[in-house]
Amino acid sequence: MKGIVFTEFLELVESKFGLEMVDQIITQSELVSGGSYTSIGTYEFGEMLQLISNLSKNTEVSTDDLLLAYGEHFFNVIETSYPQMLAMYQGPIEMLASIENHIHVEVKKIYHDAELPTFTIIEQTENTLSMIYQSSRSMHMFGLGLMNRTFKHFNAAAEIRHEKLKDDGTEVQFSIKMI
Amino acid sequence: MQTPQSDVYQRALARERNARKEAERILEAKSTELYHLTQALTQSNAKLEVLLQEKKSELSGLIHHILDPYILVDLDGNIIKLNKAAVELFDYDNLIKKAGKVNLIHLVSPEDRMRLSTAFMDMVEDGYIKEIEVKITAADGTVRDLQINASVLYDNNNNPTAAQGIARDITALKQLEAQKDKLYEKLESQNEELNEYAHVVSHDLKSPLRSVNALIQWIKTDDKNVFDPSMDQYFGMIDKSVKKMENLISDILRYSKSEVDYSEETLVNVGDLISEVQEHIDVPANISIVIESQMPTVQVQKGKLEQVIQNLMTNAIKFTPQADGLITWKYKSVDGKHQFAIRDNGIGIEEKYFDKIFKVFQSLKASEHSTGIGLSIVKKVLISMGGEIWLQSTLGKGTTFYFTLPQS
Amino acid sequence: MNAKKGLRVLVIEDDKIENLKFGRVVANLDVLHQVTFVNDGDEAIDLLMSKDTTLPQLIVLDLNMPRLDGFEFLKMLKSTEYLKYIPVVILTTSENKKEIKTCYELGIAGYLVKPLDYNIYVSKIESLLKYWSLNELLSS
Repeated sequence: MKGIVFTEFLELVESKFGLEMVDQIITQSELVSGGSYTSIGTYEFGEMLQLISNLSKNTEVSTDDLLLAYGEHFFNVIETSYPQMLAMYQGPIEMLASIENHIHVEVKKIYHDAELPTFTIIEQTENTLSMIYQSSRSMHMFGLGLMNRTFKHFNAAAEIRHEKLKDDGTEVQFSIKMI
Repeated sequence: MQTPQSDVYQRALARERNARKEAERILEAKSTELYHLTQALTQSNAKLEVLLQEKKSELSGLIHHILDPYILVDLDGNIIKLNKAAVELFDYDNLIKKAGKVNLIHLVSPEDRMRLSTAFMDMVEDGYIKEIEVKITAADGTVRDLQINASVLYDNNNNPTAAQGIARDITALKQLEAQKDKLYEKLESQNEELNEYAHVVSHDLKSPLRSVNALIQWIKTDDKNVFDPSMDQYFGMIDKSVKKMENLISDILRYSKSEVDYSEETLVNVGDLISEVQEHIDVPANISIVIESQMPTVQVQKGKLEQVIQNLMTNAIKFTPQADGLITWKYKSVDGKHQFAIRDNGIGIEEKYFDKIFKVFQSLKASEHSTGIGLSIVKKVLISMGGEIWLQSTLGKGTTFYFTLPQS
Repeated sequence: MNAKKGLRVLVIEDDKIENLKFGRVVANLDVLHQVTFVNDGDEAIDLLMSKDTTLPQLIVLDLNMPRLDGFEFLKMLKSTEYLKYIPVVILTTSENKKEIKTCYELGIAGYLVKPLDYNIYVSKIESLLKYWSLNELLSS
């Protein structure tokens, strides 16, 4: 997993819960990296799982909610680092529909070793989009956070429903309706 | 469980330091990688540069030393580069000193400018032009004919960028061609004149002969009573001389016309033609004619070959007086030529006359070895067909004439 | 014996002996032909144009003559409305195919080559005159 995902996560934790919480979750987790992350490095996904579950334990906030909040926060990174990519889209539906065929392709160009989820589009109209998330990471809530912020970015609102097609969360259907 | 604040900060600081070192390590590795990559690129670039330079100098050396003028122009026809031959031909140094910029169009004669600019536009459109001929005034003041081949040069994106052309000085060639045409025309008109002349001469020569003939007849009939036998004999001799003269005139006319045959070439079976000729001429009872070999089919003007065969046959018959006269035709292919032979078992010809019998003025003289003008005609016609003729002969045993024709 | 009525013949020929030959043949026939000799085409035209002339029934024409030659004369004759019906027979030494063709294209009635042998000449001219007399007789 790319370093930037860790550094951003820890920054978020620090801003919401303080440096002590950061220190605590790192100390609680068994991390090969020792908790020193740089955005340009690459780290085990297992480290992220430990950090999130420890944060959930300490704060009594569910991992799903944490991932959602984190996804929303992570959109800021995209907005500041890749504004030209966002500028290519006229609206949120168009942008979300291009995740698989365009955005992830571009991401792969910058980070060759990035491991990305798959989004399969089931149905698309002008104002609705239905697609299936697939990833062994089960981080669909992170995706939902990004989606929420996408609509906000385009000054639009949406009703986004998600339904686990597999209990472990490795396959989730998103039904998006712009309002 | 409260962690002392300073410990938290220290650990955070340590993590930050480690992260920074990790980042530096990664960046260092990246920069090393980049450095090596740049090194490799620089090296291959240098290699390419050397290669390019080599090719460039090879090419410019080549262009410079080409004997034909070479010109590189932009797409408006402005001259970018010339080789040595072109600089010398157009006195380019002088032109550029005067005008500063020289366009292709200014190199050619005014009357060819329109044509050249049309050709230039065609070239930009089609990519090349071939064998465009223009006149120029060279540095030394002489007018020269140039033949130009040119093509458009394109950049990597296939956009036309310039044009290059090579000119060949064909002045001498053109002059030769013109001379040849003139000569040919002259020859043709001379030939025509000569035929006309022969015709008129023979006509004018024949008329008095007719008069002589008529006058003799009148004398013979009107003054029948005063004639003695010797006078009768003399008049007979005059008559014969007149007839001989008439024949000579006809022969000259025939000779002068013998090549003038512009009919189409057709496929002719020589065996069939021999039989055809044989039917038309009087073959005396003492002569047998045999075609021994399989005769070929040849592509010729039939009238000419007929004339050859007829003359040779008549000739053979004339000089084969004995009872068991035999004339044989033979054929074989020799050195890519058709070779025919006609043999008789007649009186034969002495070797010293072999050349003479083909000469027109030699054979015109009354002589016992004369065969008339026929053989000179045969030779003339055969030469006009690309063939040859010669003979072998033994006195008292017979003569063989050989002649050849080209095999298409 | 009354000589049979012959043809009016115009002979255009510059050679005096040729004319003598022709005259001699005519004189030996038992038909009385009226033969007029002129030297060349110009003389012939003058004669034909003169209003005192009764037009000939046959013209015998040599080709090779000084001044107006046979071809020129033929052209003029055939382009003159009241003269073009007079039959013209060529009598010449020329056997040139091109000339023979030109003559026929200009509308001649016959082409005779003068033979070397006088006796053959006599026969040719006799037959010529006989033919055209008969022709005249039939058409009148």
